[in-house]
Amino acid sequence: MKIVILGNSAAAVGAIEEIRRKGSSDEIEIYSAEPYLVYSKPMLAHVLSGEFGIHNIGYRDENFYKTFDVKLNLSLPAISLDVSGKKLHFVNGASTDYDRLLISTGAHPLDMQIPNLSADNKFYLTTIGETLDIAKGAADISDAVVIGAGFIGLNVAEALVRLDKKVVVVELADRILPSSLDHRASEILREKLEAEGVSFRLSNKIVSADEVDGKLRSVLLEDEEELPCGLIGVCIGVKPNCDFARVAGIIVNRGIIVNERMQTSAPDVYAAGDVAEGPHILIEENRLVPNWPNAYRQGKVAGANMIGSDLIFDGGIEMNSYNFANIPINSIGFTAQVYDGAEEYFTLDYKKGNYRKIVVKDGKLIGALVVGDISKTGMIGWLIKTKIDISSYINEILNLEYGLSFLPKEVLNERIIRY
Amino acid sequence: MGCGICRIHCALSAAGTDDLLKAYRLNKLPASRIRIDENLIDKKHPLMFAIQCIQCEQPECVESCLTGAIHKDLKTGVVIINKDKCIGCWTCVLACPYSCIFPDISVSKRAVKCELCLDKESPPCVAGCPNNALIVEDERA
Repeated sequence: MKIVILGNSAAAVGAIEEIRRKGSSDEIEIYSAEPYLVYSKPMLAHVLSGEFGIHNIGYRDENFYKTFDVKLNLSLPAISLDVSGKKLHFVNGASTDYDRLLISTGAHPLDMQIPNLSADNKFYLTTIGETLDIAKGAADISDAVVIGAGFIGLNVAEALVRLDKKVVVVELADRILPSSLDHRASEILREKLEAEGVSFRLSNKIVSADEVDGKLRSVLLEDEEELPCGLIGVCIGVKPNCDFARVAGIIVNRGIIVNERMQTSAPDVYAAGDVAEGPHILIEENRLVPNWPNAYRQGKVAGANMIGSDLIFDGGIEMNSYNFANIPINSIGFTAQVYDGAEEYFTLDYKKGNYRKIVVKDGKLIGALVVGDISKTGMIGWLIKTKIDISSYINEILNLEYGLSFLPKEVLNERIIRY
Repeated sequence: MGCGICRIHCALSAAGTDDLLKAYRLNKLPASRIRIDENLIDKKHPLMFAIQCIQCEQPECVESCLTGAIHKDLKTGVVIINKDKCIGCWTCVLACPYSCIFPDISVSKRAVKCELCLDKESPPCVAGCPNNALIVEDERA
């Protein structure tokens, strides 16, 4: 049997490692649009800041493809897919047949059109190519503006500050990291980032740019403030690379729709990672959950099912770990807003920078947000996944006195004590 | 008893010394790779145990690691962190259902976990436990 994988990142590795772990020797071919061996995208900011070179961010070692007996094809994006003939066509005119296909083509950064701003002055940070571009663009400028205070935006901002650039982050929402942090956590982090030299303009947006002979000089904000800048980082989110799947007739919503086995609507075609819109742990509908651990886990499930082993995805979940300005922050589940029918409990020591919040619905945990002492967030996150009733232990969880020893005996015995 | 002496032995061993005062005064003490889990709600029947990484078959820390810094050694079964690849993002800390991978925030700024001290005759936590509550067994044989 021939398994073809499109894309060469976390989901692809998850699939390959699971296929081989289960002992399958099926043929595996991988096709990547990029010219690089699998690398860690979250480390790109560390490349931009100069801490790591592009050859030191491998997600697996260079022998990975040999060890796992995978035929690797680089710089070869697929352009079309024939799901009835089970055939893929590539940009160079080549084609290949498959018995099972995994689409793990990831996502690309959303673009933003700004009057008078040319594409040459806009930069992104989702691939090695984009990282090299922004590093080059940053070489001879002193001021930069980043649009979007999400994970990538803050990464870009922090890296540019380390390169001694003056950085202003412009965010449409009224706080930083608006999709995972509430106002309290966001304020704690914003102050620390400002102390590091990152400035913010919240509830604001760029209305136009001033370029002279293609050289960017400044941008104008909605409130008429003019910010000098030599480059703009566009970090407003990502969009799944699923157009060719849609054209092939596969059911696509915001991403490729997959079930709990990562199967798409087309026979023998699977999807995983940022491109896939899969089941969620906490809600009934499918949802895009574009984070690295989710991509690996979905890839693993796809890999198992492609070789006929029945593995069910327990669902995606929003999980973020940040270490901006040396402030550890963990969030898992629903933490950014107040949710219908849910109750929030929190403890805040603003001076020490300690904040913990848990979100409870019907006695079960649906979200946890911790700033400061994150040493027990793993156990707390696990309570969300297992849906154990924690209504009698809310204070213990908030005070970090909760432990595995609070679990019902049968759960504890099964999970921990093996003798 | 939940005395936590294993944690001191572990942190000292990680600091590369057996002199407690020296470890405290010269450097900050690194995070212990073992922790005490205790439930004191029922005063008559308190439950406490030391717990360290159980070297999962399919480790969530490995699956969640953003950089590929963690792997499970297929020969020994031990889950190992490559300190040169760890960027201290703490995603593994959030992923471990046992909370047995620790953020060493003040010293190495890397995630740390029990790697079973295979280079030592007996792990310091086991050797130093005053109550013989910790034992080490090799399941591989």
